[in-house]
Amino acid sequence: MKKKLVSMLLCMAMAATMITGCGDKKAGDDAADTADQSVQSTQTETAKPQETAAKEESSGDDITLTWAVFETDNYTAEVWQHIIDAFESDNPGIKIEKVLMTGDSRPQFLKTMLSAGNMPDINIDPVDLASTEGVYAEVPEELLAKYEDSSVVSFDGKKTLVPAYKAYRTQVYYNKAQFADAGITETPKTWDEFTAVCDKLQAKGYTPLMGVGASDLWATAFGYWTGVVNSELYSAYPNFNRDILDGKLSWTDKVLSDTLKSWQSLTKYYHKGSMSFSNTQATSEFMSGSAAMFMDGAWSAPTIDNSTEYSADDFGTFMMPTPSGAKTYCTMPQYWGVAETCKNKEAAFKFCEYVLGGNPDIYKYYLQADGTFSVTKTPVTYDMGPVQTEFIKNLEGYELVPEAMKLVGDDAFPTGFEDYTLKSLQNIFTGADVDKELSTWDAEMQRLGAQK
Amino acid sequence: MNMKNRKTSASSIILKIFLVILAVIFATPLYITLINIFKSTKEISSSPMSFPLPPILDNIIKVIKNPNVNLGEMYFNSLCITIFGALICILVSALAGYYLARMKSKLSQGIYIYFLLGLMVPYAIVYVPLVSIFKGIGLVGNLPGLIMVFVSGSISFSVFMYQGFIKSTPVELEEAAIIDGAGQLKIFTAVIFPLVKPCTTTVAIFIGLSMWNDFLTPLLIGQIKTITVGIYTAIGPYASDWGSVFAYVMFATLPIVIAYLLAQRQFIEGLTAGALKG
Amino acid sequence: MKKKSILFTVPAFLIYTVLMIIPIAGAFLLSFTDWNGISAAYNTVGFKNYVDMLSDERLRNAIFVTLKITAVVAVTVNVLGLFIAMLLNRAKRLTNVFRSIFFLPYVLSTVAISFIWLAILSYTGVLNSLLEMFGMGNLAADYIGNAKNAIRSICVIEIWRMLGFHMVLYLASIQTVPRELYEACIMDGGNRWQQFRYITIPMIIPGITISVIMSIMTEMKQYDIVKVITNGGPGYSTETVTYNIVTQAFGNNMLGYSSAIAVFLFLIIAAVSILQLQLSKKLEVS
Repeated sequence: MKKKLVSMLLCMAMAATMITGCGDKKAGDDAADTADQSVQSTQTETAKPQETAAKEESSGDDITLTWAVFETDNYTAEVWQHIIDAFESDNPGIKIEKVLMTGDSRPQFLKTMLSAGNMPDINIDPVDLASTEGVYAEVPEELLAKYEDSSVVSFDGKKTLVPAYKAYRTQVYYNKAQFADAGITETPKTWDEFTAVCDKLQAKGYTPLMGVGASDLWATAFGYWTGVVNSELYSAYPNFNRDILDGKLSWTDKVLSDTLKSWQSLTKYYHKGSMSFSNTQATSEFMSGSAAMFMDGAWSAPTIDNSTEYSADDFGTFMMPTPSGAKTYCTMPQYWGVAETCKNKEAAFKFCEYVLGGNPDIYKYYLQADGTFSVTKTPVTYDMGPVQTEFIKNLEGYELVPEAMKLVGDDAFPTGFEDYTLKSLQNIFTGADVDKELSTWDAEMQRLGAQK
Repeated sequence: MNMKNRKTSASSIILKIFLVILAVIFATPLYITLINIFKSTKEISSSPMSFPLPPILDNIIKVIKNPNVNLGEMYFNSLCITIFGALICILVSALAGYYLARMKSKLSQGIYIYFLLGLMVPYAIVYVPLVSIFKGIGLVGNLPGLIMVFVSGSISFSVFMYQGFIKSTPVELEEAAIIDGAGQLKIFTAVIFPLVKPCTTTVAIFIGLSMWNDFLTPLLIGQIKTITVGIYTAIGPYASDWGSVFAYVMFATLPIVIAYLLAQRQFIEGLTAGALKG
Repeated sequence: MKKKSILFTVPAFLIYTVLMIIPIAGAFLLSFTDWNGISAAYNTVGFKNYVDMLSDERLRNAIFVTLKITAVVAVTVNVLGLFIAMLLNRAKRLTNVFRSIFFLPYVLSTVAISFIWLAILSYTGVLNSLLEMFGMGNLAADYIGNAKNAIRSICVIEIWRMLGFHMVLYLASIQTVPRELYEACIMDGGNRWQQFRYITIPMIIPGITISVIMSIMTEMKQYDIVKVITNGGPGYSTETVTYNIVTQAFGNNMLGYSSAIAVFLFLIIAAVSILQLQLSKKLEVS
């Protein structure tokens, strides 16, 4: 009867397991039992304690907390494990279980976990969900007191996020050899000098700029937006976010429109394959010499410094000049959040405090991994490689302004708006009419804002 | 037959050549995947079509060593889902299909159409309301819950297949069993189920395949690490490290490819003969 | 015939109803709210979501993209599939080998397929490298980041994936046509084309119906490949309706609205399927 079918399937299963030598899991037995019984009694299914990604209440002395992390070239599994090991050895009785955020959208991951009742206790990158009430727990005041006042944010009066670090955003990385070969002796300080540099490079047969596309929607406009557009907007309108949210300004504003049109004038300098590269691909293409310049994020500085394939001395960085000459830069604050559903908030906040400043060595280690900077009242610094040092030095003389899209708290834009603009900016990069695109932004912001 | 031999001429040779060319084009992506598993990323970029000499195992080792990628767990999850999901679905659908095939009442027809509704639903609709229901029953984020979700998603197709297949089987055997005094359940297990083995094979392969390969469902319902979700996450930031990418793809598809090669006839004939009977 | 107990249908009915029908009904109800998927509170807003859909440009674009992909892939896969099936029908010995090759892509996971093709279509990927090797470097193009090419790439990948399945379906279909009919036709002096048109096609109408319906349904729900390769981009040029639904739901926190879109998609697919079935019933040869 069923025997033949079962044996055939089991054969396939065995073949598969033999090839990979997969291990056994105790949970498998539980799953098998429940699955069989469910045929008879779907209605009477009870919640069995299964192996889930959620926290388990302490049976005995150990508290286990789940910590949602993500991985990049810089934040490797070793980094997270090192932090976990350090904390656990200093805090016996508390175990940290790492949960890797799947997919490519961290807010999406957290939202599905939230609706599934499996919200990890401690979240990195909680900003998107923090604007909804009741997701994160309020942070104890004593903990918040350790951080710079400017980094503490509130949502409707509630302070639900722990400041983690601040990250600088973007600069133009350049290939020194190609610059020298094209006869460029100084990095450009003005917009005109910049376009001149691009022309010189092109004349010598080099591709001036590297771009990003493919499935990394955020990256196409990233460099230009954070390096140029944001500067122009905030030097023209010091209260840009508030003004736009209050309706005093519109997204069709001339400053924005002109700045984006300037971007379009640069498209001829970009590498032809830009839109098909993911961000990591573009970075490795740039490092291998496919383009002379790349408007990339601050995280690339330590990557270049630590590269084993290329020498950090081959690369340099400079601040991207803006059309109007505005000299500002922005930072993105990052936070950690403790879920409201966490059953051991005290332990969770202990973990936050430990990593984010409590243990200076670990804080330094965490910051160093991605090249970010401390937000604690007593700053924690570390030695930086040549490119990163140059990066920081370039900021002298520039004014710090908020980053429009990354502002947290009451002046933030509605959820989903940033993604909308990123897609629109991609359209602009590929040639769409700037004013036509911008004319849709106001309506979309309204639409998303109405959804609370 | 003789009339065919007239046509074994230029046109049929041209067509054969066309077929061969098409087959080569088709197989190229597979060939590329296979050979590039054993080449370093640099070599892949510079000479994508070359045969790996000497083949290197670095990519594969990298995947196995990756601390984030627990191949064992992922295979286990995928297997569990596929095997148990298919078994449960087949069982309940065969039962239902039997009733629907043999009873010609309006009620039976109505139920049949009711079951078919599921075929037209883009599964995306169902995720969030499903999760809310699940939370109440306590089935979220775990394997049994996901298995039941897959089962419910495959019932439409399975019932469709079984109904059609059973309908086309002769009733004499059942009638003989009834005369022998067998009860309904006995008739089903002793007579019907063995009779529909081809259909069972078809259904098993079809829904097993879709459960194994499904990407969106385990991602959105409880973030279970099946092999497809696992490699999507693992590759994520490293998507330009072609060597690793191909190695991951290999791990994801190898079981299926092997099963396919071993049971090819069943796969193909099952899938299509079944679809036709409907 | 003795009456069968309706209990036979109970297990399937239960699972299906609880996990499929009720959520669908739930989604249907949700479409009349403005729930954001996270907080406990929401309001009922009547038909507002459906009205909003009418003026949603992004949705309109997604529908257009989905229809384009569906049309191109469904037509190609069915026409080419039938054609190749006809060819294979007479190849006899090599049929199995060809069948395996063509069918294999269908068996692979869409995520795996996406990554394979990403390696091929990337600007510095296999395809362009090959073109350069053969001295046609100037034909190298951006197959992913260019809006027009991106949709074409998606279509090509889908065709590659599905062709084998439909071809095999048609092959099996063709093999059910009794020889006698062909023989009779040839004796009446019919040539190859007439055999095809008057015997083959009418006899395989059920197979054609199933194949076409399946290809349409599959493509209208297209998500995986788009998500992994282009993420709907560049801009919105490869956003399909399902992608739009998922984005609105999880990206924009607009679950009520995305449910409305999903209900809409369901109605379209149902309508198309029903139309197809009616059409085929008319054309069927008993």
